[in-house]
Amino acid sequence: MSEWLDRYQSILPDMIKAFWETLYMVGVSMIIAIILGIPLGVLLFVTSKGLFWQNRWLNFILGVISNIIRSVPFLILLVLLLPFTFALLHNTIGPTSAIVPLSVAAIPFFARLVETSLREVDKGVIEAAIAAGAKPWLIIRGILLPEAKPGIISGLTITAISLLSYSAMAGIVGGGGIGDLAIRFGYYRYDNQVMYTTVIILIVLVQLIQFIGDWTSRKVNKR
Amino acid sequence: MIELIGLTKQYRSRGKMITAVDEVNLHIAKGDIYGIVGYSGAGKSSLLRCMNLLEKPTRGEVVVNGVELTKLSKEELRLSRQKIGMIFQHFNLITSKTVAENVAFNLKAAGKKKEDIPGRVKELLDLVGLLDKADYYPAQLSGGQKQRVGIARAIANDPHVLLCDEATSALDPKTTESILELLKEINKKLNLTIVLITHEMEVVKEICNRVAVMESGRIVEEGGVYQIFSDPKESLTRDFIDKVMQFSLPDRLMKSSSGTIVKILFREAKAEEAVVSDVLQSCQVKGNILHGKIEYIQDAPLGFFVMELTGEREEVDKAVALLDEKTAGVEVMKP
Repeated sequence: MSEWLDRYQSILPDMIKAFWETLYMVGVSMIIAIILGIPLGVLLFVTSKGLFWQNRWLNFILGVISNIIRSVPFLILLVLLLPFTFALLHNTIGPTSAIVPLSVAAIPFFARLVETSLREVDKGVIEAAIAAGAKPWLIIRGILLPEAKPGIISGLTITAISLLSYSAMAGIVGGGGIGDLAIRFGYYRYDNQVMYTTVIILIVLVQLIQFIGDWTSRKVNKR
Repeated sequence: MIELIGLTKQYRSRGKMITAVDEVNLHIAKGDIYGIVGYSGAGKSSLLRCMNLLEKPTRGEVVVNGVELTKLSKEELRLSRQKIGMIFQHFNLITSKTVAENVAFNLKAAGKKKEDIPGRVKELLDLVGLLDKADYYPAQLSGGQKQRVGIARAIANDPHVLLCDEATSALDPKTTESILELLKEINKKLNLTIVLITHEMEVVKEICNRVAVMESGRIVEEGGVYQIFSDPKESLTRDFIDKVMQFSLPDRLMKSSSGTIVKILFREAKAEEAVVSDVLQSCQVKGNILHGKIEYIQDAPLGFFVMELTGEREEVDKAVALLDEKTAGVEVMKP
């Protein structure tokens, strides 16, 4: 028992550091996914057939690019993007470097979820706004995004949870974080105690994200 | 106010070319409450949606308040639409915004100054009787209240025209009546031209002054509402009117009665005269009312009585002839 506690004592600083690294990686990637994923999702939607910025080519090109990124397994994407990450940050190791592939994966993933929730918006409401002579920009800002908000928040939840699991893989290329700890100690060194502890932390984190996401989505839903 | 010239709307559906609107010419005057009736699929919805170019006509001209809409640029069309209000069958309110924010959206769309918006919203909500519901969300409102919000936002930018796309079809009769009452009031107060499409002749009877009957993309009959109701030319028009003016006499009555059964029609002022009792007295015929209905269309009566006349054969014939002369017509249902 005391041995078990001692082990915790020695690993605790590493755990805390890994925990913050994970939050940092996932948090920053999420912010980037929001900043770029929402415009991409909106663009995918409003350039589709029957919408006010209908543009077959733009829609096709954006669709293909986001599909390509989403079809590459994250582990491969991680490796493929190493030169890009290096060009950007002059470094490929550590949580900051992991943010690059995480964001690249998260942007099209989240964008598609945004697009899907925009599709759920009642066409009649968009039509009423067009009949009122609203500018496209006002329709996006004043109707599409507020009406799709519950869906977008659900998409954000799914993206955050996916990023959390991707961030564990980032450990393989020295990305740091809880997943990295689990792999280094649990997988490479057969340290079950650390492995189970990190898994439990991850489970709790996922539950927490899901709970907060569901609660917020419900809260903003006025339907 | 609205002029449609040779308007045609075709679209492709499952490889087949469908003509929803077929060479329609229509003139709607300022201040009219113009009804367009037809069964579903008659093309009335497409016709209405061509009036603000929500649907682009294949051919023809759409002139609203002197402006040819089909010739406008995107931006000019957007500005023109601000002066063409529209309400919908399913209200189409923004569910994530409050009643006040819904109305404010249309004001914002027209580029109203921020500081002027709250005052104008209040004014509009007062006009439709929803001042106390300003902070409610659409989901918290009844159907009639939702349509009132729809009306408030549609007239927010002082449009010349209000297009109503089956605006009462999702409402119960009592709510329908109150919405029609509101539309009538707005028409009077703002001298707003209203175009409404419906499949209910009852709605036309209630508020329209002119009506067009549509079938397979064409307008088959058009005219003043009283004229159409009292003297329909087309069988389709008669079908629609019968729904309002329908009656049925039990078979038992027809069989058991010994006298002559006549249907006497009344039109405009004649319905109010005591012609029937005068005629019956002068001819020594007894009259027994079996059925009767008088509708007031734009405050003018239109109706009929079904009567059983008993007496000497000659006297009855004389009475029928006299009634035919003094009323809008007599139809002998059973000699």
